[in-house]
Amino acid sequence: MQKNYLYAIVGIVIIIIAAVAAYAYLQSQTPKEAVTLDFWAPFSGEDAVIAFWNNVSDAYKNATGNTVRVSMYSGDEFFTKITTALGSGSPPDLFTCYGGGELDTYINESAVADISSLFGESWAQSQIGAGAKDAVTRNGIQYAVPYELQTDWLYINKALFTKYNISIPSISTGWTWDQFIAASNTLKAAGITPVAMSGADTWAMTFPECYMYERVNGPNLFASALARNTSFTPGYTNAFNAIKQWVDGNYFEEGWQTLHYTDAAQMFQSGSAAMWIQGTWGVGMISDNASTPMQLGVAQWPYFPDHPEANKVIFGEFTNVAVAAAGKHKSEAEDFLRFISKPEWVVKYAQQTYNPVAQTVTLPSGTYPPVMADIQAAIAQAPMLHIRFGSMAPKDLGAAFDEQNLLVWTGQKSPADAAAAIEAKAVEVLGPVH
Amino acid sequence: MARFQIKAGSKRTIVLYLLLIPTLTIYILFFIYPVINGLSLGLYKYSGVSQVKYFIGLRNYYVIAMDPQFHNALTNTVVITVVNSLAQFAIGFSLAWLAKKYGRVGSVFLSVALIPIVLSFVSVGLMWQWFYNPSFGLVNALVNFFHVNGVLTAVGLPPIPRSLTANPSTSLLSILLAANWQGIGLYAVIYSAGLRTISPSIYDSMKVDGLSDLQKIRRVIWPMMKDTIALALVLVISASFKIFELVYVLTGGGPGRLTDVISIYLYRYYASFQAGYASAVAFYILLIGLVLIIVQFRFLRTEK
Repeated sequence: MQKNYLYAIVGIVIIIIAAVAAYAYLQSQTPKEAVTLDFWAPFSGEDAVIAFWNNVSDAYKNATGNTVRVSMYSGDEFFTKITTALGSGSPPDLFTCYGGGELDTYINESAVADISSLFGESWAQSQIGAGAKDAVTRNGIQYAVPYELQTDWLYINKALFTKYNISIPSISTGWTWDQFIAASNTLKAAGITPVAMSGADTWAMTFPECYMYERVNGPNLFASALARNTSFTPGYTNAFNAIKQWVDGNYFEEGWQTLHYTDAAQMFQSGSAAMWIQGTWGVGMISDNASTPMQLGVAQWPYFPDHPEANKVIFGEFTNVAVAAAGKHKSEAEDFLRFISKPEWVVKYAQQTYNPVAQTVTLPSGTYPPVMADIQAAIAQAPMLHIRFGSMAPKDLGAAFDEQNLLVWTGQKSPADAAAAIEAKAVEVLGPVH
Repeated sequence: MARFQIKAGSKRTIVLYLLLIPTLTIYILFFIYPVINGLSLGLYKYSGVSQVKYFIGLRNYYVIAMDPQFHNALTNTVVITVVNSLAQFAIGFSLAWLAKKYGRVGSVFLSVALIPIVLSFVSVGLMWQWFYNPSFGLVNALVNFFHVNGVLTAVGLPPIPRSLTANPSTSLLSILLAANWQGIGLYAVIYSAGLRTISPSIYDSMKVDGLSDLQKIRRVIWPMMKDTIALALVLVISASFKIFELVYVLTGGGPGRLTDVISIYLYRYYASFQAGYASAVAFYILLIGLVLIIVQFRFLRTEK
């Protein structure tokens, strides 16, 4: 009788083990349910970029069955939404980040996932260069995949320059501030708006702010102030004084204070304005073809003879894609990053958007319009690629740079007061000068 | 009666209180708790990106109170609120009175005034942005067509600038025009409904007494419509105090920060990872809005 019980128990145990094994085997054979990933980015208004992300998402779905829902927002809207989503614990699976202080906040508050494992893969080792990797690395850990390298330029309408006998500045030698102002005065006298400006988008005014600061003060002062080895006050006072003189010269279109960058783009494209300050995404926004007589050119930001070493310093930053730490589908999100980093998709991004890619892949000749060749050449010979100030600093300090810059541009604050306000915010955020 | 026996009246009271629980719960969860939470978040340096917070006491509240940009935004908001209240009351009531007095003809004006209400603030902002455009806008076209600037200059007045939104002296006015263009119709309808609640016999007796329109309105109509006017004023004050989309689309708070309002001021800080600071601003908005409404109710109650 006891033996029968023993046989029964053993038999039941064997049946249970067999059932569990069979279940596990069947589970491994059953295809995983398709997931939906959310990807948020601040590229609203950039049709070519939006089209690319929709295309690559469709291709990813065809390849894996997983859907990527792409949501595009404008700048401020993106940051309010991403803040709310991260803070509430319901973030998108993937989102764009610019690195610098913004990425630092995400890392310090555990909002982005450690994706170092991706960087160990062969594609990453061959495609992501040291500079791009550094931009997304903190304490040896990588937190985002670099996708784009944006730099800031002074686009010029070469046809208008030629028409009014203004010599087109060479991308390799640049031009001085006096030459730039002389050209602007010639254009103004001819009834052409020298520079299309967009005061409703404060970020657009930070490009001249950064360049002016570097050109007036030299290339190392900002980093020193950020490290609190020196105060922001003298550097920003000099920069804001130069900006104020430029703004007071009335070189922008009427009503620029409340126009957006898309309005400025239209003015430039239509030939109403001869120059436009914008990132490299501006190339994709402006259709320059044989029937458009504009002949898109690009120039370095003018330099001051006092600091020739600051000439050719270029401002820009990497646009990266991060995985949310609280995202529900981290492995699928990493898989999407692998997919978009395939050379054919990196090439397509360059071809469709004209945006410079951050990853090293062989681009077919003719991928970029001629103006981009000038840009690439200038980047190659630049002594330094400087991250934009607002991105380099913690975001709340970056917002103070933008705010005080805007107030100087619109005459609501004197350069000295604005510089002092920046220093006060720096003391609050980073501490006093050592 | 046994000690544990509950009286019928008390039973009803208990049931009433029990029935109130769901409503009270929703009210506490969605109104009281967010206000208290917002007040407490304002006591922290808080990015909003996670639950990481650093207690800084009343610093945010102090910095906001001392910030000239906040004062500027608050001033603009109060100006917009006061002008909207007065304009939408005066013009809205006038339209309602016209509709009452002139029947069908008056109703046409009321109906036309109602059309903009169906548009979103963003649509209104975009539309008026085009109206105000210095190059192709309707406003400049009309000014040029009627030689308005020539007339103004001839009488010693400054000309109307080509870019109303970008000119510091007219940027706020450009917002007020757009806001009132949209809002007047709603208040005209509210006042129209209020006028209809007054018995026809009152109108007849006013006619018999030989009162002028102004006397009718001041001495009889307005006192009888106190509650309607109070409701309309509360609505316009709260809507104007929260104004955001129209200003954001039309001027972005510009030129510079000249047309900044407190909702855009708050939005800007929230978008730059300063959610604690933004929460403190929100609390100021609540406080000031409450004060305005209490003052208004007291004023109306005193007059009664």
